[in-house]
Amino acid sequence: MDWHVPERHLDAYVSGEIGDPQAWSVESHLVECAMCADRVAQTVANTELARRIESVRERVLSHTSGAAHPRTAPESRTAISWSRIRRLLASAPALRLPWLVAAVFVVACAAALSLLSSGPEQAGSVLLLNAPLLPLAGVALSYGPGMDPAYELTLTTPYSGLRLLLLRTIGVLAVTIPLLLGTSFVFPTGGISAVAWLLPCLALVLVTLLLGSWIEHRLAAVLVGAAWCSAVLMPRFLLVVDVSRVFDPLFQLIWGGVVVLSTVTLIGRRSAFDRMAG
Amino acid sequence: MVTVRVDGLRARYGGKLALDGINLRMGAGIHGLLGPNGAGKTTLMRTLATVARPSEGSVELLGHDTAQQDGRKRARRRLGYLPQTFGYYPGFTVAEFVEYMAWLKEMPKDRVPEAVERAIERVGLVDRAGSKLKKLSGGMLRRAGIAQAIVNDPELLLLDEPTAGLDPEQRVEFRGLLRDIGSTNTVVVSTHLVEDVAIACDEVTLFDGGKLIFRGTPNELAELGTFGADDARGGDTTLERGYTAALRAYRERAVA
Repeated sequence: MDWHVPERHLDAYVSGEIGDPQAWSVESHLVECAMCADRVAQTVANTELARRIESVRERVLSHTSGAAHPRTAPESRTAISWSRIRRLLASAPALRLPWLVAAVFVVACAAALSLLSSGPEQAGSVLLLNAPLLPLAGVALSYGPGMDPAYELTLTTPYSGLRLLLLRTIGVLAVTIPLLLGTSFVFPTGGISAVAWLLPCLALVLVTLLLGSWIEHRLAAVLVGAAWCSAVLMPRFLLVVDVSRVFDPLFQLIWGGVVVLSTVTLIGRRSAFDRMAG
Repeated sequence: MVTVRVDGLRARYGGKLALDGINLRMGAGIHGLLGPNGAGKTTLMRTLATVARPSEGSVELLGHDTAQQDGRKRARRRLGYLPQTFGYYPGFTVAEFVEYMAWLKEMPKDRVPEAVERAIERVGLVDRAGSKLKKLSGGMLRRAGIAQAIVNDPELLLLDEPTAGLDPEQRVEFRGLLRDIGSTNTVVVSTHLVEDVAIACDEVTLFDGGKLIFRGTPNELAELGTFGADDARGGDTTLERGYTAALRAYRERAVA
């Protein structure tokens, strides 16, 4: 563009002293020329109009988000914003109040069971062996078709499916792990460390997420939960075998290996999370 | 300019072949997808929305190949979609939900509040912007769904049965909105209401049994029906008669 609004026209336009025909030609130029629009904005900023414009602007914006925005917010697409994260998490069913109530109830039942069981050695493992299943249930409830009502909609957005899934998983773990940890510190664990279930729990969750890149997320959680039940819980309660060895140092090493391996594979499979499974 | 380019598309839905060899080109304007239930309209919409994976063929949206992850991501920034079953979070307000979708669409942060207000205003829900979604009627929910679809000023807008649940007055307003958006962008509307197509669309594409059987203007579709005007089975309007005539002709050809 080789023509721009001359300085005196600009001043006359801002102060309202310009004639109608000239005002029209300035306005039609402003629509197309960002440079002159900026010059007008700067000139206005030095007049007494500035405060009124700012207050109108703030009132309009406060309608949408309830908060005033600065005149020029820096564009930051990846910056962490707490209100955003809260909203991303709140959309997960597992983080809503009814589910939390149910979780507290389950933990209370497990604790009661461990108290009623015969002998402190037996009692402790009941709680610890069941502990990994609660976070797993929460993870199952927080993503995927049938669980997330807007799942199909979120798939059509550029936001990474894996990022959303991980964010919600962290949300679930941040609620359930302190709950279980608190319980296992308070109640007798029969000589097993109260934190022994953490690594197996993390391993189960990560294997679920990874499996969810091939099959439906919820199905993956059910399969992993069932595998834990048939490998650990059933032998313990039906056959009365001592399975507390899964918390031994050697096994912990294996769980740790599963965690690392599935994390690496999961990152490699990230593109599978932005379309429907299957 | 061609914004949607579909070549040799085959797609499955629930294990069944729902789209069989579709070739399609679309540009700016309002495109209506018509067809009986099970014709493959929704599967086509879900494929265009990059949700469903094609079993064969290619889908290019706004110049991006959707087979590539990067291409999908770029196309999705400029896409708006209202699914047939609009899933929402009952505890969110209209404004919160539209804002949430604007974030997921990776809109620049400073543009979000204004875009949210504008989208809600365009669907006429300003006085309910603070209401929770679970408190809304069916028609209002549909409009909230349209608001989230248009919040990023999409260059490709896909609406699956958008007029379901709208009363006649809202339908008129909605068509005005469509024309507004369709004057510069590509709008694809799937519907089972022949009248929607007649009034709002620039172009009609008719599907049956997963195949594309007719493509043309609403007038050209109506012309097909003029031959059987005395045959009341065909429908009450020329467009309805054109619709049934096109279906019948296709099915007779398929049997022969």
